[in-house]
Amino acid sequence: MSADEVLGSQPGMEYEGPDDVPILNVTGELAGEVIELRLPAMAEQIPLIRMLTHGVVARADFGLDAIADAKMAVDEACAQLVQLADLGARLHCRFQPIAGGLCVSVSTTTTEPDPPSERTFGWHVLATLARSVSSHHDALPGETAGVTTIELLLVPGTEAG
Amino acid sequence: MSDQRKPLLRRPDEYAHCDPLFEELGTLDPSDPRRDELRARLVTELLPLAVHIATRFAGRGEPREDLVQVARIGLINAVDRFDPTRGHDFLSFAVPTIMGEVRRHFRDTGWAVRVPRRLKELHLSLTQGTAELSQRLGRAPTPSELAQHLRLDVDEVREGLLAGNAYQALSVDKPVHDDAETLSLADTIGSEDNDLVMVENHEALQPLLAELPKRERAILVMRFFGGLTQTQIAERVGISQMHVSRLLSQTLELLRGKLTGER
Repeated sequence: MSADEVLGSQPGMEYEGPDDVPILNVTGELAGEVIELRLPAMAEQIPLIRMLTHGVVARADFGLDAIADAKMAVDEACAQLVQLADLGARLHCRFQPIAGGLCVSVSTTTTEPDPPSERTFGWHVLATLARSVSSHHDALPGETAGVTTIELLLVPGTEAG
Repeated sequence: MSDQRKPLLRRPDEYAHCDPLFEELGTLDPSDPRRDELRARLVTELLPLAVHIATRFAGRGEPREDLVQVARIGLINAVDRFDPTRGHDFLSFAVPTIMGEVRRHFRDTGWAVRVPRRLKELHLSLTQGTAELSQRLGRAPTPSELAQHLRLDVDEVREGLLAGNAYQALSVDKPVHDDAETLSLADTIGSEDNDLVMVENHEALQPLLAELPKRERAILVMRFFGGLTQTQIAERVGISQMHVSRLLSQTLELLRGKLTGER
């Protein structure tokens, strides 16, 4: 199985992501609203993801602070993965609206089996900007490379306070 | 001919009489009252240099007087930081320093790209509307709340917010230079230490933080180590939320580049 298959580029094979669900108990009903973007895992591409993030969270009517936080968080997650990504790998960004927020998952193929360290400044930034953040690495059967994913739960920041 | 080529250093000897003053300044004890006197004299002698550089940047949408002020600040910094024992002459040190200061001013307050008047006005009303609503709601407003408040179409607001990233702040955004920052920094510095030691690359990070301009550093610390929202930071520093957000993401990008050794 190739990385692209795991990342869900085949028609009819919806990439569910191994860990879509755990952050909040989301059922599949909202899956129709999933927005995805796939592009080369290169730093030059990140501004494009940033624009899409803006569009998605502004449409979800996040507060202005939360919009800016979301963009910075996605920026950071993408930058971390671009660092780890194998040469020629693609970055897969997936935005899934869930009750009370937005689940963003960014993944790419990496030979390095360890997910990003959770003790870096970059991770501290992610943890500050997102309601929750997690990462995982899934080996691809029969290949040396696997898929590393960072998942962010973003909230609109409009609750009282 | 060669005069035309390098107008800034047209007469390199123009400020040559300052060299002995710098040398003298270098020999004085830091507590010597003559230092201030000498420093003031040097700055005064060199003022035309600041005007000269400011003039080069005139006609780009920023008032000339502001540019001259900024260039003068750059000049004072250059005088303070110049070390004649390093073997450079003052001009080759000062010109890039002053130009850097003026460029920074453009980056902070000027428009990075030419933007139609309509968009500038939209940005202005979004900035003001955000400030008003934040005050009322106690948090940052959403695009639809802004649209309602400003009687604008929500799509227009969303796009206006996105465009807000392409250009820099307007003059209403102008920072309250330096004053506000020391205070806010002092407020949050304690929690910075605690959080920072948890970070494994904090040894690499600390000198980078120290290198940041004071305001950028204060904003970063307040957001990531002080737990303040951008709206709260905006209020403390006296700039708009959008400006805070721009400065934050610029600073993060800079740190990211340096931490990963890209530049």
